[in-house]
Amino acid sequence: MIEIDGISKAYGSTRAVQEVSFTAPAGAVTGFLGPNGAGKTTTLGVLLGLAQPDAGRALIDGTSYRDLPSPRRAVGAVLDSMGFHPGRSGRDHLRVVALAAGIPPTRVDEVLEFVELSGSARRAAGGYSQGMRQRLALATALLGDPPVLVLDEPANGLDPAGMAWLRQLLIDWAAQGRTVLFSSHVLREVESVADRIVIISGGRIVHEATSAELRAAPPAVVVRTDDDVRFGQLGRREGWQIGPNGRAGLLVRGASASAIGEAVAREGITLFELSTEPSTGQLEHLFLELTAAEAAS
Amino acid sequence: MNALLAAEFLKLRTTRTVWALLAATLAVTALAVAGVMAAVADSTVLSLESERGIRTVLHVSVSGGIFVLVLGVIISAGEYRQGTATDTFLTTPRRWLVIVAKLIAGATAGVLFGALSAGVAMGVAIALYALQGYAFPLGSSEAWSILAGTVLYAALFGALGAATGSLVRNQVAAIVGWLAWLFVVETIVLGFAPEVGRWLPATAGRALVRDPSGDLLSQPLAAVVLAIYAIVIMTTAVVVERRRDA
Repeated sequence: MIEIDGISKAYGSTRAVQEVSFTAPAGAVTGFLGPNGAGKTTTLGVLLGLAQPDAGRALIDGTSYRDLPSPRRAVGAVLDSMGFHPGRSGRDHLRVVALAAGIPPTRVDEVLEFVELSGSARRAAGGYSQGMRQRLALATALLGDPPVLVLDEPANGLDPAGMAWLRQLLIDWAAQGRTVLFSSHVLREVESVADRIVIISGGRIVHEATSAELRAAPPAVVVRTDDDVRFGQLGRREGWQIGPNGRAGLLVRGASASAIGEAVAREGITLFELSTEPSTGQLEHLFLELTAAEAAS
Repeated sequence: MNALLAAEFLKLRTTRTVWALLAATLAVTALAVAGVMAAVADSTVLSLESERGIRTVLHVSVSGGIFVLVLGVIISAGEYRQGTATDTFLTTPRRWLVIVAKLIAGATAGVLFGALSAGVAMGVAIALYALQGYAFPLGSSEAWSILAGTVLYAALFGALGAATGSLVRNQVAAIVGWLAWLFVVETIVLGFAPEVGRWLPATAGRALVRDPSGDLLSQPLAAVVLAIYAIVIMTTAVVVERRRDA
């Protein structure tokens, strides 16, 4: 289990994250969702002992990363900042990590097999494609067979087949009772795998829910009118929650499409669009609303 | 610490950098000894068989020393250049251990470079002495203390490079900084204040190999001075690293 407890960190006068708290339980995939620059990498850096927080702490099964007796066996991590020496083979990269971490060298070929990189393992990593580099980073994370996996934007550079493979891996990993925490700025990636979703925006956690809770949220209706001002006045009288929609129009909660249609007809407002969002689209709207609110403030 | 050191050596063995630098070191050493030999052989005032002659010929055994310094810098700062520092610190979150291991790795690689340089210098000297019709004085304690100094020189400059790379983190800046220091700053200081200059790294290095020119420190004192520089830079790196993010 991962516990992030009140982490704040500033770089100079820029507050990267403020009082970030959430947990990622064992046996589940937790998606850490937020736009670029929201504080995902800073949070994960603090979790992995790579950055010092100004306040708060992060625990992995009750212990902070820097105090783990054998970190590679406790946590596997894939981060954007990881690189490989262009002249060293992928296999040698793994041998180096295994040697330093006290992991038996036989694991090297096992993880290479597992990430389907055995064929290129003896070639210099400088010639690897982005997808192969991502697989090598993942192989490095899996070397210690850790109960906790932390991945920062793991889908970057993976092709659709690689994506599907990674998705299955994360689901299987969680099914084995392990803790999986991965960050992404792409909603679809999170939506398709995560059991739990934590949304970060502007350095603060703005929402934390299970996927089931999000799907059960009241439906939202997309509305486009010829007069948003009068529609807004109507909405206030009726007690609807009106927010911006992604590309165009408004998103209304608190009323069904037919109730909105009747009320609008009485007011004489012309409708260009009136549709109920399918439940899968709600996370997208929630994400856009939450992050747009932050951007506006 | 043993596993960390073994990993540092594996890192060195699994790229070509170390071999290229070793080849450059030995080539420069051989050329330097041959060049000095030619100059001394033509000299009418300096005999090859004199103590000063031996010192003049052999002390250039460290001419490739700059490559050892570069290797040391690459051992530590190279990790930031290639982005492997993240993996290293994930494996070993206690960074002072990494910094110390890199210093030891730099010094150990230096011993190898120094021993091979000493061998090449000695081999070239023996061959060229014979060519000039002299027998190289193998019994000369001066010759052996210079060769021992060569090994120490390379070990200490390997350590200095590794410590500097940990502190500066930028490979190019560390190397350029050292070159500027060794060949510009020290030359100037030595010109204006030789009593200060003799304590500085390049000049202490020359003392370590019994460079016959100038008023230099004794060999043991020069070794201690260079070791202190390495330890001070390494300790600074450890202190600074505590407040740094990876």
